[in-house]
Amino acid sequence: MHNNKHSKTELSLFRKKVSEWLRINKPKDPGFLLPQTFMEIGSEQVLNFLREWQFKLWSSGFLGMSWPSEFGGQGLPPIFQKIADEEMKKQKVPICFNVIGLGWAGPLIIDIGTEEEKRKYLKGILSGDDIWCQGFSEPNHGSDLGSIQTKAERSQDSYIVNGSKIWTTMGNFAKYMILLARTNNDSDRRYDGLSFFLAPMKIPGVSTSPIRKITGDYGFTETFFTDAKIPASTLMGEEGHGWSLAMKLLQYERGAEAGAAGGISIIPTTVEDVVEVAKTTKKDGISSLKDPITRDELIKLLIDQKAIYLGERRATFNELCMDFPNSLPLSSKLRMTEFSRRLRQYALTVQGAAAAVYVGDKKAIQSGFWQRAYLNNFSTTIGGGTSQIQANIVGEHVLGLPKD
Amino acid sequence: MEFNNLKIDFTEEQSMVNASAKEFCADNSDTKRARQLIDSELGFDTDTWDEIIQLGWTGINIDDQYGGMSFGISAAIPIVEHMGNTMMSIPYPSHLLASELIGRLGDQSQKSQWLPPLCDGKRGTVAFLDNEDWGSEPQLKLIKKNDHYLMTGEKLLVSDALSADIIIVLATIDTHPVFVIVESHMLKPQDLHPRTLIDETKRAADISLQNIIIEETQIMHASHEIVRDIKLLGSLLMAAESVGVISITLKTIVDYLTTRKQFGKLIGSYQSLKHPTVEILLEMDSAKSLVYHAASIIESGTLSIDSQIACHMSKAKASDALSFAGDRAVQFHGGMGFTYDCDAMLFIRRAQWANQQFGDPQYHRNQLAKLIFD
Ligand SMILES: Cc1cc2nc3c(=O)[nH]c(=O)nc-3n(C[C@H](O)[C@H](O)[C@H](O)COP(=O)(O)OP(=O)(O)OC[C@H]3O[C@@H](n4cnc5c(N)ncnc54)[C@H](O)[C@@H]3O)c2cc1C
Repeated sequence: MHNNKHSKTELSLFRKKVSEWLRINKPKDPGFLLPQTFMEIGSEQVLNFLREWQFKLWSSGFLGMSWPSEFGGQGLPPIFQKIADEEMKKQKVPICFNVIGLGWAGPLIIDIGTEEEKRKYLKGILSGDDIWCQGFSEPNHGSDLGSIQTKAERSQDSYIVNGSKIWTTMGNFAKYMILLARTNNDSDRRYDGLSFFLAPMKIPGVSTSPIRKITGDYGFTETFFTDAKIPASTLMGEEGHGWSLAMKLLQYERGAEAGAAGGISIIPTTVEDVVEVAKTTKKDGISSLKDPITRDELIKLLIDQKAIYLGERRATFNELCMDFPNSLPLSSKLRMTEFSRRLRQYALTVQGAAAAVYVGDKKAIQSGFWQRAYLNNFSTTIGGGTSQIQANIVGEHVLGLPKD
Repeated sequence: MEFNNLKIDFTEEQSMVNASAKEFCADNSDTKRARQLIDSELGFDTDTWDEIIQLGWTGINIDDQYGGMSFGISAAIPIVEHMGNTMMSIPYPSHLLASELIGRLGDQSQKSQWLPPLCDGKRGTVAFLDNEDWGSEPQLKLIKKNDHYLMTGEKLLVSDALSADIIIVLATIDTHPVFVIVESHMLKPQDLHPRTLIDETKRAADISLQNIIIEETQIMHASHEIVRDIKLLGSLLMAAESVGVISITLKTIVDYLTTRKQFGKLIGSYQSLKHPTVEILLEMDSAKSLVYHAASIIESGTLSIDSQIACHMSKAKASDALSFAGDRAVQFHGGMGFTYDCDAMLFIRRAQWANQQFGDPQYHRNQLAKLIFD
C-alpha cells in the first residue's frame, strides 16, 4: 500500500504531467474520419494512424503502467493508469485500438498465463505490434456460446482447426486470436469439450472476409478455418477447461474485473456534450434548454450518469454493498451500455429536423457525430454478451433467480 | 456546467452506526410487526423509541454540548435506511429533521432550551405545508400583538404530529419566513385532525391554529436558504428510507419468484419477470449511490450547490425506483399480490406515500434543471 499523504501530491503531479503531455502530443485531425470504437477500424490508413498513437502513448509511459515491468509495463499501482485514462477522456484523444489484447487477453495472460506466454505476448500487445482478435461467436451460436461447433483436433504436437467464427473485430489485421473451440465432442456436458487457444492468424488455412456494418464502415470479419494447423503449445490451460477461461475473459471484457492496460477504447460521450447540442437547437420556438420536457429528459440522464460514476466509488466500500454483493460490478456493462444508448439517441432527438441527416451531409451537426455514435453504441449492447444476457446474469448470479 | 463532485466517504462513525442499526432494526421490526402497529393509535412502539434514546440516536446529529453525539446528520442515514429495510414504524426521521432545524437555526438560548430534551427523547416534527404543493412559499402568518405574536391558520399533513412533543411550524412575519417552536401542550387535542393515509404504517395530521400566542423566544428567523436546506435534508432522509424499502421489496419479489411455480417452472425463470426485477436492483443501486454521496458532502452550514444537487437527485431517483418496485411487487405476486395479506400491499402504499413527501421526482428534477441550466 502506498503512503496516502505522499502519494496524494505525487498523484496530482502525475495528473499534471499526463495532462500536459497529452496537450502537446494529441494527434492533429488526420483529415479522415477517426473511429469512435475499436470495432470500426476499416482501413490500413486508420489502423496505421491508431497504431502510431498507441505506440507513442506506451513508449512515453502512459499505457500499461500497472502491468509487470519485465513485460513492457511499469509495475505501478492501478491508480496511475486510471488518472492517465481520465485525462485521455477529458482531452478526447483518439482511442487505443488494440483493446482485445490490452483489456481482455492481456489481463488474462497476466493472471493465469505461464512465464512463456507472458514473455511472448504482453509487450507486443502494449506496443501495438501484435494485434489481437477474439474468436468466440459463430454464425449459429452467439449468446449460446457453450454450443459453438468449431473443432480443434489434436494431431501430435498440433491442433487442426476447422469451422468458422463471425463478428471477428479486426479479424483481417490480427496476428493472434483468442479462440474458443471444441476439442471433444463426446463429453456429456457440452462445456467440458471446449478449449481455449492463443492462436496465430497469419497461417495457412485461416482466411477472413470483411463484413460491412450498420454505420456503413468495415471493422469485423467472418473468419474461416480450413485444416488450419496451430501448435499445441498455443493451448491455454488444459484441454477441456476452455469454458472457465472464456468466462474469465468475459469478466475482463465486461469490465467486471480490473487489470486492463488502459487507454480509451470507445470515445466517451456525456450528458454535458448533449447539453451543448441542446444549446444550439430549438423546440417549439424556444431554446431547447428552456423547453420543460427537454430539460426533464436531460436531468434524468444527468442523474443516471452521476449514479454510474458514483457506483464505481461506492463499490469500493464493502459495507455499502452488503445487501446484494457483487451487484455493482456484475451490472456495470448492462447499466453503462444501456445508458449510453439512451443518451446518444436523445442527442438526436434534441437536434430537431437536423437529426434526420447522416455523416457526409454538409450541414450535419458535428459532422454527424451523434448519428454515428448512436448506431455504434449497439456494438456495446450486443457485443460481449447482449443486454438481455447481461440481465440474465445479474438476475441469476446477484439475485439468485432461476435459469430460463 | 461543472458539477462533478463524486465524493463518497463512509466514515468510522457511519460504519459503527451502520452495524448497530442493522442489528437493532432486524431485532425490532419486520413486516409482521409493522402490520401489528397499523392498529395502534400512535403508529409505533414506545419501547422501541426508548431503545433508540438509549442508543443515543435521538441526538446523533446534535452537538455534544447539548447532550448529542456530534456525529452530524449524515451518520443517521444508515439508520434510516435500515428502518426502511425492516419497515420499522417510528417517527424518527421527523424527529431528526426537527432537531437538525433547531441545531442549524436556533440561537444560543433556543438551542439550550430545546435540544437537550430532544436528545433525551422528546419527539419533534416540522410542519411545512400550507397547501398540497411542496414548491409553494410559506403562507401562514404571525400577526404582531403588543409584545407577542398571534398565529392563526392551518398546516397540512404534518408527519407524526400526534406523537410529537415539539412541533416546529413554518410561518411568515411580513413575508419573511420563520420557524416557530410550538410545544404540543399549547395546542388543544381538537386542533389536531388525523388524516387517513394511503400508507397505514405512517401517521400525519392537519393542525388548525386559532390565535395561538407566540413569544419572541419561540421564533427562529429563517431565510429562503434555510427553508430550502431543511426541505432538502428531509428529502435526503426520505430517499435513504426509500432505498431500504426498495431493498426489502426486492427481497420479497425474489422470494416469490424463487418459490412459486407455474407451467412446471419457477416463475423467476420467465424473463418478463426476471428482467424487470433486475431493473429494480439497478435503480436501487443508483439511488443508494446518490444517497451516500449526498450524505458524504452535506454541510453543517448552508448547503452548497453540489449538496443541493445531490439531495434533489437522491430523492428523484429513490422515489421513482421505489414506485417502480412497489408496482411490480404487486403484479409479480398475481392474485396474492392483490390481497391485504401480501406484503406487496405495504410496499406499494409506502411508495405512493413517500413519492409525495418533500416533493415528487418531477418537482426535484425541475429544481435541478433550474440549478444546472439557468
Ligand atoms: C460490433 C460487434 C463486434 C463484435 N466482436 C466480436 C468479436 O470480436 N469476437 C466475437 O467472438 N464476437 C464478437 N461479437 C459477437 C457478439 O458477441 C454476439 O453478437 C453476441 O454475443 C450475440 O450473439 P448473436 O449475434 O448470435 O445473437 P443471438 O444470440 O442470436 O441473439 C439474438 C437476440 O436474441 C436475444 N437472446 C438470445 N438468447 C437469449 C436468452 N437466453 N434470453 C433472452 N434473450 C436472448 C439476444 O439478446 C438478441 O437480442 C461482436 C458483435 C458486435 C455487434
